[in-house]
Amino acid sequence: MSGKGLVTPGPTMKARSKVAVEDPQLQAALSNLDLRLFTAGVVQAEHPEWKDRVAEIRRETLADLDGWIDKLEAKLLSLGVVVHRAATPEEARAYILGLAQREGVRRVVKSKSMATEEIDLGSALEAVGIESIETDLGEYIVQLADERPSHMITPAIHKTLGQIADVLSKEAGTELPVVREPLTAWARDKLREKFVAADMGITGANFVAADTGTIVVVTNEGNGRFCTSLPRIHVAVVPVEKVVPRFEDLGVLLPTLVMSATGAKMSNYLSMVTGPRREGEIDGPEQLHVVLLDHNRRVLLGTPYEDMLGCIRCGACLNVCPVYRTVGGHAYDSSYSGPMGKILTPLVTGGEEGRDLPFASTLCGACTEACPAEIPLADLLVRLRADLRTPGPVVVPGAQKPAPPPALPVGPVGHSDEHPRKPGEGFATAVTRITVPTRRAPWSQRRMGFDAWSRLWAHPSAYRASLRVGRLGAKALRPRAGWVQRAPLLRAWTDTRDVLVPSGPTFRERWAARERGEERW
Amino acid sequence: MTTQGAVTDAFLFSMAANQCAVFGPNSPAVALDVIVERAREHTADGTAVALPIGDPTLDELGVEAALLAAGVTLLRPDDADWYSGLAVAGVGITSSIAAVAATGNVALGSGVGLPRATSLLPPAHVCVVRASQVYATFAEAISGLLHAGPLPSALTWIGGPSRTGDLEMRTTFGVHGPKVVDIVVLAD
Ligand code: SF4
Repeated sequence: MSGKGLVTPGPTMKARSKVAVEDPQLQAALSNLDLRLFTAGVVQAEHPEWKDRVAEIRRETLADLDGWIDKLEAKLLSLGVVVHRAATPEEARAYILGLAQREGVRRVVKSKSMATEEIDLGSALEAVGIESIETDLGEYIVQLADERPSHMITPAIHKTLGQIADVLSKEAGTELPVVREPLTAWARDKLREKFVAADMGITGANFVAADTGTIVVVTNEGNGRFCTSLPRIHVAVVPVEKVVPRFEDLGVLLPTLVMSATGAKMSNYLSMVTGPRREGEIDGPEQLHVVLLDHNRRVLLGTPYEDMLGCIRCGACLNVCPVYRTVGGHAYDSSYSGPMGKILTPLVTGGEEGRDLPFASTLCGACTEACPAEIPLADLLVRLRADLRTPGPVVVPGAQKPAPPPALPVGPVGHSDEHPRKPGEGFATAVTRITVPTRRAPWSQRRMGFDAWSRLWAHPSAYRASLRVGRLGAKALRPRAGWVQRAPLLRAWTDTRDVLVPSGPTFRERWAARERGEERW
Repeated sequence: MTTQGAVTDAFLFSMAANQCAVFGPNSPAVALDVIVERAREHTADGTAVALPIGDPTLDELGVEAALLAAGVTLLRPDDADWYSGLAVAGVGITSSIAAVAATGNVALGSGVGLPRATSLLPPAHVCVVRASQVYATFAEAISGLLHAGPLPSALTWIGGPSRTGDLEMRTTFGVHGPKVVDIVVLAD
């Protein structure tokens, strides 16, 4: 996931954060996030019952994810949709590239999608000479600047209007005014040309209903409508957790998603696509392909990280996060940023990327409070910190089935590449639902220290004795205030802190004195 | 005031808040006048009106005959130059199959003679909404549509003119879809 689009360079999140806080343009742009600071509370204030219902639906889905995926696939097939199960980003890319080349596709229009960012699809298409154009205005700006989106709802949030005008002017070959309306109008005309001449539309999906096979794409601009209406082929890249059991679940999921994301009551457009163009219709895609992407998600089922798959990608946790709000999305060097990105990145990359991200948190819990899916983000961060101390993937599948042969390319419309199949089969890393015990961190000095401390304070007399010793030690430091600041090995801690010297007898000592009648308060 | 009347009023209020021009609730005769008047305004520069074929609400109102009588140029889905014509048409007229008061949006279904692009390519969109099809909440509309029969291949929900928040998070109108949306409510 690393590589292009690093506005904020550096080898670690810490290094990148340093660059970010010293970038005045970025800081000016990020101040616009204030407009979204309170949106996370709107659902809670206006419809407190929605959060519980959303969390309930997500838990119900994840409890039998493979079952819902099978149900969805069967429904999609009956509608004439081609379904491909991809275990890895490589497989998903290979399928889509193969399809595009077989169909002679020369131009692809993309609607904003986190999943296609995750599998870096745009670059893969360009690499084989297929023009791929992002059509969400923010994504288009980011693509022209050769960057990656820095916010899942507002991809160009890291840019000021002046910077955006520069990017668009460069593409236009003429100086465009630093005013929102003419900039938008220019992009409208430019992208309209692209839409009309595109052979393939690629979207993600905010949700896919298993009972009706309906793919839902949420936009405000209308680019999702173009991508799903005009090109003759529509490909939806759908991470497995996007499935929801029933079409009717959308009644609460969509208003909650939109309200948490922007504070609005509903997004301007919703495209609900149920199968390809039907007999007698003159527009809509002739072919509809759904690529179901696993990418280390299903191994999380049954583990404490399962909750993370309940994420509906509203971005509320980013908007309220003091770290995100200070450093912006590029400091995370991942498709997913903010609190959810810190958790999801090391999980979906199998522990290969973003291992330092969970440590860049104050654990203030603002994200947990904001999350409309009731995901315990702060708890998961703490757990990840412990689990990441062991090298390798965070969750190791306990029971792997042998991988079925990769099934490429696909058959004609209306057929999956491998059907019928047993539940969960089809992804190369098919796993049965297992419970992974939480691993203990390796034996270390630090852990020995905490273990000894915990044993010591478990005994009241030892606890009292340790306080007395500590107080004596601290008293010895009293004449040398500031001394600790020069402790060589503890610099990170002592740079901004000094030792606290106790002011007098402890509460226990004073209580004992009172009982003896020696002191009155 | 009936409950449905209150819901319809709330719907009109929400759509107006979404920057639509709202009309109604109107009797069929008045609704037809409004549609023709809006169509003429959007095509004052000589552009065409894109009109679906076989839309039950528009047919019942007699929109085609009224527009022809008003002398506007019609573009129909069975015209050979539908797509090239649509790219330069002044307005697309559709009806909706459901609408929601709380969220302020209308649902359009695709079908034979009812292309998706009618409400997408032209710079203006006139949408006729039957008051009886306005639901109070989004969840009710979703259930209602599900139980009304098979879902169309494209069920498109529209809140108002196309917009974006991508430029410093301030709303800017007219990105890809229509820049103007007129909502005409038909009392029924
Ligand atoms: S983790 Fe929760 S708050 Fe964050 S994007 Fe996902 S659903 Fe929204």
